[in-house]
Amino acid sequence: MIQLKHVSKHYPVGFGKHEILNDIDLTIFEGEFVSIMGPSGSGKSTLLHILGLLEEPSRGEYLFEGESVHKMNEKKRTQLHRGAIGFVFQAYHLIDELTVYENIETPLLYKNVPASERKSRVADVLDRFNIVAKKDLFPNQLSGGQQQLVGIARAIVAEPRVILADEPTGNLHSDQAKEIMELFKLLNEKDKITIIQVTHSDVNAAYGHRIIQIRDGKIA
Amino acid sequence: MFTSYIKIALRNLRRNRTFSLINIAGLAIGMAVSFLLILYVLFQFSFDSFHKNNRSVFAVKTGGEGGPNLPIPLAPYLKRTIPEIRYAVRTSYPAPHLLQAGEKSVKLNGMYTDPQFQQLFTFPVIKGSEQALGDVNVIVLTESTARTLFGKTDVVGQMVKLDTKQSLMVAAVVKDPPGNSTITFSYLLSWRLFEKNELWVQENSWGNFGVNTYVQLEQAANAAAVERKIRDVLHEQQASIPASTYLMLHPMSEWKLYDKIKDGKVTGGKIDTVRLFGLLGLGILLIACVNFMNLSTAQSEQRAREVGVRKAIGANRTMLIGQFMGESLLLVGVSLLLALILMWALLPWFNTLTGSSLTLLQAPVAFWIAVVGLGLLTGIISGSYPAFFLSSFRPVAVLKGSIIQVGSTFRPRQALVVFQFTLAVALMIVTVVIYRQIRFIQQQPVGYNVKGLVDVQLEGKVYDEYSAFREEAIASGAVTNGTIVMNSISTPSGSVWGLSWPGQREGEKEINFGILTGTEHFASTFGLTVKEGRDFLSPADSFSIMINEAALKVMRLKEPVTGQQIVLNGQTRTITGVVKNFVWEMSYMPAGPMVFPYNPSWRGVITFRMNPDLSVSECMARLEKVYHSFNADYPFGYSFVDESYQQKYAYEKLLGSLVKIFATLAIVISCLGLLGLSVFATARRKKEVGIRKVMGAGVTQVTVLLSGEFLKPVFIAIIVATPVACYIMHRWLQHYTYRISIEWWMCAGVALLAILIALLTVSVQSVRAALMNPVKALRTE
Repeated sequence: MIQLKHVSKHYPVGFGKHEILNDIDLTIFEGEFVSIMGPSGSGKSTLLHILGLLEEPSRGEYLFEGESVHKMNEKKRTQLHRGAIGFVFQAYHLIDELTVYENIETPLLYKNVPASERKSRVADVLDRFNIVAKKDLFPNQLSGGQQQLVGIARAIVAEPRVILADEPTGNLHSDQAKEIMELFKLLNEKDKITIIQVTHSDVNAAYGHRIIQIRDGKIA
Repeated sequence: MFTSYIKIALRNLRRNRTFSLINIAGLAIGMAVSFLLILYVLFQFSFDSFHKNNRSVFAVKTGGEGGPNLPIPLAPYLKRTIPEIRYAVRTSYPAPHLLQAGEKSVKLNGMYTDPQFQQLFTFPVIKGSEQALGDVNVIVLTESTARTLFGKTDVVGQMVKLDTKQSLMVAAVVKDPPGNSTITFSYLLSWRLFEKNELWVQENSWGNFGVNTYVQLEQAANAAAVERKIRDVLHEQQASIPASTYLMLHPMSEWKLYDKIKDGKVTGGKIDTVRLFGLLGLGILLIACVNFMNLSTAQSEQRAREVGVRKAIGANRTMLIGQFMGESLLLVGVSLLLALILMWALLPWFNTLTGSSLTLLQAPVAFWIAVVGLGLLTGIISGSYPAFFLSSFRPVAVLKGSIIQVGSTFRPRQALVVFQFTLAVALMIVTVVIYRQIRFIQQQPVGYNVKGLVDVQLEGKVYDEYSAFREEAIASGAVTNGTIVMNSISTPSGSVWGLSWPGQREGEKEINFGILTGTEHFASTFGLTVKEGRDFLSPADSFSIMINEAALKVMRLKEPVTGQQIVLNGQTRTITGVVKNFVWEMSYMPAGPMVFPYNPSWRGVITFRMNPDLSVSECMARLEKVYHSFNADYPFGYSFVDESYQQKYAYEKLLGSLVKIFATLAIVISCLGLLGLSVFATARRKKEVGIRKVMGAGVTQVTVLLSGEFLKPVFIAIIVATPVACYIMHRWLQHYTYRISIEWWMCAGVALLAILIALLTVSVQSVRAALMNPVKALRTE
């Protein structure tokens, strides 16, 4: 499903450049649950951003479902963001001005899903995550764990084929973290969603089928 | 989708209440003021456009100064000899007459005119004939005059008494001249009645310039060709009229705004004020828009994260652009509504200030187009920064928060603040200079004692028995002195040429002299200083004349001046006195040469010196009693000379108060902007302030740090604005012969004031931030 060939990423620093990723080869199959680990600054977040089309590699090729990403235009990428890829962020990144319900609804709005279907799908997700009672609250009225639940709900409501999670439990305490990880596991097993997560925690990483260690921009 | 945008926009408004309030209020004030000015400017441009023949009607004027005074026989002569002229119509100057119908009596302005007046000017007839003025004893009333006199408009055939003597039949009722008509009247009288009542009209002389003349050309006629044909008519008909008094045509479309004529060419006029208004309005609107943009863009950066999230979950650029544009337009829409309400509330005040009668309901379509257009423009321009700038960012960058850097995106905003304050500071300097100049010209010595003088119009029996009226007024104790003059001394009204004097040189016959006729007690009533000779004493002075110092200089008369003879209007008069120069026209102009012939037959006004031992109200009460013993039917009409003297400076005062208002507005709106930006910047630097305080920074240090950032643009604005404003005011002051010079302390004072105001505005936020508990700030991370 996802294939990286000789992917490198560097940023210009002064006259030289700062190498973040160096010649990465990586294949992730449909239905996998992959954990990416590594110390701070090793490049794991950048790798995730490249996988999520939020950043472009400086060199190398990225194939998403067999299609070369750097040949895609803005429209096609937006399409992938809308339908194929769901994001979960460490800082949740919910829209503060929208209620829980509206936050979850937003991706469907961008996908032009008709109103009645939107309603039922959001209701389904709310039900499934046990947050129906909270649907009219604003993000700042929720605890961190609840916000992340909403974040995940928002990521899956558009029925993506892959979820990219950047330290989804980094801001949570261990009980909440466990709950979130169980949820990922369920999504992976029951809904067949491919999950790629970046994490610091060995416990969380163990939920994945495969652990990829990154050190100094290379897969160790 | 759309409802979601609206929801977000409204919630954002609510969340940043102070910010939104500042933003909307600033824009609304700016819009209200500029809309007022747009309405005013459009109104000025609409003058006389309602006439059906507004393209083919011209006023005949004398070239040179463009005076509208023309001889009585001119209009019939033009109609007779020039085939291109369809109608030629004379009107007298609108003058007050007493109208009576039954018990009702009222004094209103009206004019005598030819019957074709109703064809040339198309004031719609409500009742009666369009050829109403052919007979002698007829009158045409306007709708409101008819209502005042009879309480209804259906009054054709009723009788109206003119000046208590003549009974006139109402031949027609016409609509009131609208507010944008140059020609105004409350009723029209027939020219034949004019001839019957006034000897000088009967004389039908080419030498007597006293009426206005209007012509309407045939459709196909070429105005320039007609102008060439009529150019020298006056000199040809009467050789004594100098060839320099030639005729020209002044098109109707230029009557209001282009009324200054020099050497037969239109050189400007009220258009200058209108342009100034337009520029000021534009300036205020610009400041307000800049403010709005500044504040909304500052705020939008807080939303960079929202943009990132939206992009990551599938929003494309068009959607985001739409969202930000929509929000901006919504804000502008709210401001627009507020502006219209504000404008509606301000209109009465604005009308008093500018002496106009504007209403929102009767605003022309062009006004609404301008309002909607300006609203859309403001919304789109101020929405475009967040729309295009933020939506162009890659989501990762925005999510990481890397565009929220103090340095990079702050510069354009500082430039905008510089721009605003430049305008504000420039306007403040302009205000100071105008006010100093007005004070300066008002403090110029008048040359006579302007306080305690009152003018009473001579009419009815008071006109006939003026001497007795004067005697009885003095006997009543209301006044101590009085003199008969042709016109109020405060309003220059006449000039003569063709004088001759001993030792006159070639060509000096054409020199213009100001003329004010007087009678005995002339100098003593006004408190004029007689430098040589004496005041008029009695009717024995019938062939006497006084002159002013400026006239003496022009005539170069040898000593002793008194006793020498000069010829005025063919009459030889002996100089009895030389009067010290006094302000007749404007106190900022050097006094021109003037003559004061003794001539009670040109009487128009009696000027009294009020009894200083009595209160003004007591004086006027006693005077009114005396007046009514002569004129029982007339309302007692009078005016105080010091008040009408102040009228001379109405334009300067209007300019002064307008510029003051605009300067205040400019600085207020600019400060609102600065306040908004400081609220925003302080919030953004909360963490920095927290850390600095933990490190041991005191309140003063933090305040200075936060305020200093905002003072820099103000300093730059002062440096830019000062020379520009000084240059403009230097040019403006050239209009005045007597003028102030621009002093360094005026600019320094304004600069200091601007800095002070800006500092006060900003420090509210800075001090609050500096006093804040640092732990709070750091905990938010």
